[in-house]
Amino acid sequence: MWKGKKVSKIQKKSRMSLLKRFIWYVVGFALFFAPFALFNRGLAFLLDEKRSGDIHATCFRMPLVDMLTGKGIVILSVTGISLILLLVSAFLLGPFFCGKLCAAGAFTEYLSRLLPDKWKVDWSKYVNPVPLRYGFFAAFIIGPIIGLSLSCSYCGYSFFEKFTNGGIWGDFGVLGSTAIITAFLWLVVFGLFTKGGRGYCNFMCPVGAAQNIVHAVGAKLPFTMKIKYDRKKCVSCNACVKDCPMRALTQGEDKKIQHSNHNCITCQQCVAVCPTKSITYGFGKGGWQQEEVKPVQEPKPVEKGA
Amino acid sequence: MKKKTVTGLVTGASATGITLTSSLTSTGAACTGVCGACSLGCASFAGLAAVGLFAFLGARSKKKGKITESPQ
Ligand code: SF4
Ligand code: SF4
Ligand code: SF4
Repeated sequence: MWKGKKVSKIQKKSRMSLLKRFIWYVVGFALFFAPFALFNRGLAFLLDEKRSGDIHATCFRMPLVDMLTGKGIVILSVTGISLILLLVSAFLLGPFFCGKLCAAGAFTEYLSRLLPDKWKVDWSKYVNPVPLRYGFFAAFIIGPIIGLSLSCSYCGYSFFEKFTNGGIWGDFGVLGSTAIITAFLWLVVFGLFTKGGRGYCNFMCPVGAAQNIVHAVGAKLPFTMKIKYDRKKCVSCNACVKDCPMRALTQGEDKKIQHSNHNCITCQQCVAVCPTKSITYGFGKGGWQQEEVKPVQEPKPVEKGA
Repeated sequence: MKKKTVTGLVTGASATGITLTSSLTSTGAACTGVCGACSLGCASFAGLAAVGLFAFLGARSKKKGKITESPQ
């Protein structure tokens, strides 16, 4: 009986959480993305640095390569300060930028929520996103070090900026063949038609991957903030698994929940929908099961009348 | 080493390899997103991918139409 009541309550909680997160993402959009990029512009003004106010000021590809190739990095620069803030916040709070501020990732998530689930694919059932995203991240770092140039045209960030700039100023920039592919993959295949709507975040985004590497280390320490789980309180309703945009939660054979710090963005959507407060966000131990439990098998289809 | 770890390592290495190899080609290195620069016809690639996605979704919904049995 409580099931019927709780379901609508869960949906309400989910919507409230989405609304709260939406406000954060609007703030993030104004702070980091062109045409506003208030954080980047403000910092550049304070540091007397001449650079355009867009997301590239906070992209860490070049500073990271400069560091790895021995060129060094100017700490007191927009990129230097942004990189430090990004990694320190990920270590102490989880991927805060992804979970609260990145409007590019949020855009496809919210878009995908407009479509019914039956039209969407849960790619994480077919391939584990964690090695893929870390693999792309490795290439992202190694490429420029060995003198290869990876095309920024495929970046979801860049595309989001073109998209919003186009919407606001009518200036879409160069919309060529790669932009068509990026738009199609980022927005349609891995956005609209993907469960959670964060296929780009899950499989390709180097900024997200870097934060998750740092978070996975930080989450092992008691003084950092992380998503925590109380097995005893959990009634295995699966609401958290269904609502997780990053597919970072799975249900094990024992019906209890498993979690991965390698793709959780600490958005706290699972915290909001959990009816028994089994999932929380805070300091201390994570409480997730250490020993491996197999995820629940998909029911096998059989022919009618078989 | 566990099978899952090996699969993860192979998947990760493949992703790295494919990304680096694709950027070795002149297309990857020279790509500025300017339409027609590489004459590879990316729009047709996007079209093919679209057909693939919808075929996949169609096949999946057909499969879901069948009776399912619970795992034992
Ligand atoms: S993974 Fe990348 S695109 Fe996704 S929310 Fe994080 S920074 Fe943004
Ligand atoms: S596990 Fe929870 S906090 Fe992490 S991405 Fe999923 S819903 Fe967000
Ligand atoms: S953690 Fe909460 S939402 Fe998730 S299955 Fe358990 S009771 Fe349900």
